[in-house]
Amino acid sequence: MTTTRWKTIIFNAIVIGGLLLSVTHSVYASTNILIYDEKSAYQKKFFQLLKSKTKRSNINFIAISSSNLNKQQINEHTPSLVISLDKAAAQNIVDLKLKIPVLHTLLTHADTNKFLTCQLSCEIKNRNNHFFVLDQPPERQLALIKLIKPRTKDIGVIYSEQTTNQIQSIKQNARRTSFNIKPFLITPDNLGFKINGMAKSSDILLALADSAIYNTTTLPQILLTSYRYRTPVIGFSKGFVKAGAVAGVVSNLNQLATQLSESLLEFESGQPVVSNGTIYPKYFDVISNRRVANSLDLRFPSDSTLTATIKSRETP
Amino acid sequence: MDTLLKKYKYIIYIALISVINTSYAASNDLFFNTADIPIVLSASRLPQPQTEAPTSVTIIDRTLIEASGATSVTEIFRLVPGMQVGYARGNFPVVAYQGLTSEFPQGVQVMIDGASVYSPLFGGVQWSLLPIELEDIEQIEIVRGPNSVSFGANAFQSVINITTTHAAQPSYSGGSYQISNDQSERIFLRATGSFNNLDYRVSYADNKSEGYDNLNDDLKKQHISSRLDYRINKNQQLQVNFSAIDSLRQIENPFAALLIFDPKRSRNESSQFAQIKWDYQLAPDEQIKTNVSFIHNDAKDKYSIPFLANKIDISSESTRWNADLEHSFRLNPSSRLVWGAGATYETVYSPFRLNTEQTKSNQRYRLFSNIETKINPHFIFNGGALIEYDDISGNQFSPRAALVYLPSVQHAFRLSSTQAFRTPVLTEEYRSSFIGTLELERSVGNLDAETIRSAELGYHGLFLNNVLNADIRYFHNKYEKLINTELPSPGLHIVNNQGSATTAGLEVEVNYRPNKSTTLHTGYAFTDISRTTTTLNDSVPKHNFNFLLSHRYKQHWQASAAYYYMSGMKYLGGQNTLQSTFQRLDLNVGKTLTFSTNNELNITLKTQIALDKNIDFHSQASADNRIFLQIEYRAY
Repeated sequence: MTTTRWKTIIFNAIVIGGLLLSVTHSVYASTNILIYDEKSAYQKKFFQLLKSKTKRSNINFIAISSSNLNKQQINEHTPSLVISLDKAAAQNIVDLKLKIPVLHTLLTHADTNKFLTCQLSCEIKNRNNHFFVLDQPPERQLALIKLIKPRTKDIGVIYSEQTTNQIQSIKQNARRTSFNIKPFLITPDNLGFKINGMAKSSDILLALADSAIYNTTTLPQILLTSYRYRTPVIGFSKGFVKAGAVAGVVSNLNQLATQLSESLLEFESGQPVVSNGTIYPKYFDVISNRRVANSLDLRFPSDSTLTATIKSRETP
Repeated sequence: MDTLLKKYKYIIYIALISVINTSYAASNDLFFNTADIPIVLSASRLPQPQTEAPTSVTIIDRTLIEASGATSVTEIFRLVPGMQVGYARGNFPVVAYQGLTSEFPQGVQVMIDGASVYSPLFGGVQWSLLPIELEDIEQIEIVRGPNSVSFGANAFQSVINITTTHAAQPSYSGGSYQISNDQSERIFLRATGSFNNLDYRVSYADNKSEGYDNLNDDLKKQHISSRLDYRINKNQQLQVNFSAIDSLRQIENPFAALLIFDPKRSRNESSQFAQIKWDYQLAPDEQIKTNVSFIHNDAKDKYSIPFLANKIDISSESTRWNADLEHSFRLNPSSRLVWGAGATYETVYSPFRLNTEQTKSNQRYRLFSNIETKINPHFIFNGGALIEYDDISGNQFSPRAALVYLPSVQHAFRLSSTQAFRTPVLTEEYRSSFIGTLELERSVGNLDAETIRSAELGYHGLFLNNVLNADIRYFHNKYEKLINTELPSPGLHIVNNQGSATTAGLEVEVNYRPNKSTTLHTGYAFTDISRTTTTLNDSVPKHNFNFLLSHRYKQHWQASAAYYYMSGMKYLGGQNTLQSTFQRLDLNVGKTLTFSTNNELNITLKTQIALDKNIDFHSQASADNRIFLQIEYRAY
């Protein structure tokens, strides 16, 4: 056998082997459909982060714009699961009643309440839908309050119809502490009235991620009124804290993408997605507005220390 | 019909989509679209932590104002150690600090949202023409001690820095009516609203009072004011303040012998104030603030006296234009720097005091800078300087150096030294007044600025998880070139720079707020004056004490008690008499009734019990018990 012949055999073997490998790979690779708004910068960034965190796995993503969404389009890709990145997409997918797991991300608790009108029966009706919410769990937020203002007794919580069902959960968590939760239900016409009453009577305001209450229009009034009565506000996002909240527990896109990628990898390895519907952020940081804290005579440890302390107290 | 339905369906669909999109955007914009979130509590809105401040500052916030039961803006200052509040006549309130003053306390600078309302006519502030109402005040910071280095001329003894409430904040419209046993009445109306990024507030107040029983000192005043806040974008804010006052202030000389020259009459006083303020937040630690303000006061007061052919014209008119620019930023992680420049142009027309129909003018330019450096976690250095040019007194320089030692974050000791100045007002520089051919007053001209050299050793501590704070300061002030404001009787009054004095003393302030319902505030000042004339000596009250306790009960009841004490003293000025100890007990009780989802009615009974029945400025003006009933309605 000539050298040329051997070379041909080896070459063919490599090619055939490569093809076989690629076929095997495609057989075992899971296809996930990711529905997002391509005009949204943060969703694009989140998608990129997710791809980079799963690039060494066999997870493939097929991106579909939330504006062109229909059931047929999803089914033709035979995905293992579907991921939605915004509320509009989540709403549409819930309505499609897919038989495969759906991971709804970058949503607030209030968002899910808005379109899951079934409330308590949702768990049964939507057992395939899992909501990775942006809100932090109540116990984490109460832990932050304990650290930054230990003498807190009354925690004011302003809520709307969107967030009514979160109050009970916060109250339950507060029972394990010395805190007293003072809920204030607002309607569109009494926000100023309730904010005033809350600020006068509460030691601290715990803000729920509720767009009916907290948005760029209402934020100045809420922060200024709270500050008038020296009532610190616990915010729920970096922008909120920068605007004037004293501190907040927040998860950034990278942390949220890490958590989701871990869930995808677990799913890919054969573990089913298990949740009772709502999945809180796993990774987080405490951020604070030191200027506001100093003005309110609040002295507390550094953000990194606060983060570490809260993490250490959470059960793994 | 079908086509029409389809058309409507399409419209409804579009509307629904847009609603969904809008709510979606709103839902997550506080999470991810941070570019649109305004910095609401910027550095300019927040007071510096008192432990880090280079000087003693009393902060009176809305809670304290409401707790005090104050019936007017000036009454609030009774809560400040070392401050004296009086009424030259029942319709002419006076706020001074550590004495050395006539009814025009020229050593106190008053700023409203960064704009000075210092009178170019008399110096000091004419409180009866203040362009804001009590309800407009969000917070007052009183710098106890000179602070020309930050505020320029006339921040000589103290600076009162008033911040008005943001237009977005009192989201209620409504009104109040107050009546008292001395026949005074006050009606206050307010309307608030917003259009997109613009918030507005318009207020109207109508005051009537009859002053002291034995004096002709009635007052009728109408005041309209407004504040507009416009959010240009997340980093830029525009604020516009406007105020117009029209008043009739009754005047009559309290001394029978002088009635012939100063008879009973009504002086028509009006004032217009406008301010535009632009704040630009370049970065979390960098900000540019500009402020342009205008204030114009006009008083019409012309009357005849026997034996004189011409009428005496005590009318006056003054105008001030002021422009300021301030840039603050962080030099490095441990140092912050603020620098700025300002210009003031003022005119005064006062035919009686200047003996001319001409309008006199003065220009002032200033440049300043302050740096704060955290040397290490335990030491903060604060240094600054201001240079100001003034047409009357030329160049002035004001430096300050302060060192704050923080053994822990709860305790701070400070040592500071500064020099400040007060430039003469136009009616001092050009003073020349006659009645007929009788010369009453004459300025020597080319007056120098009054100067003060001040040193302070202070302590500020936070206790009980910071719900209790205490501030103690020892001060030593050396005044020089004080302008003589004493009007001898009889004789020619020569306005010159010959006065001097040294004061030293101790001030203590304690605030305790154990919870949201209880507020305790107390302050004490001891001031000793030496190396001066008897007249100046008498003008400084030795002891000054205040105590306030307030509590909010369940069912929306609120009660407070306040006690105020001030030693006997005598204001400068030939017509003022030695007054005895001032003691007053205020008892207030109120109840808020809530009806419907966003309406409330507040009923408050306020009593001011004059414990000493002391005289105020004049022997005929003696304090009496006052009872006020106020009903306020708020619709949110």
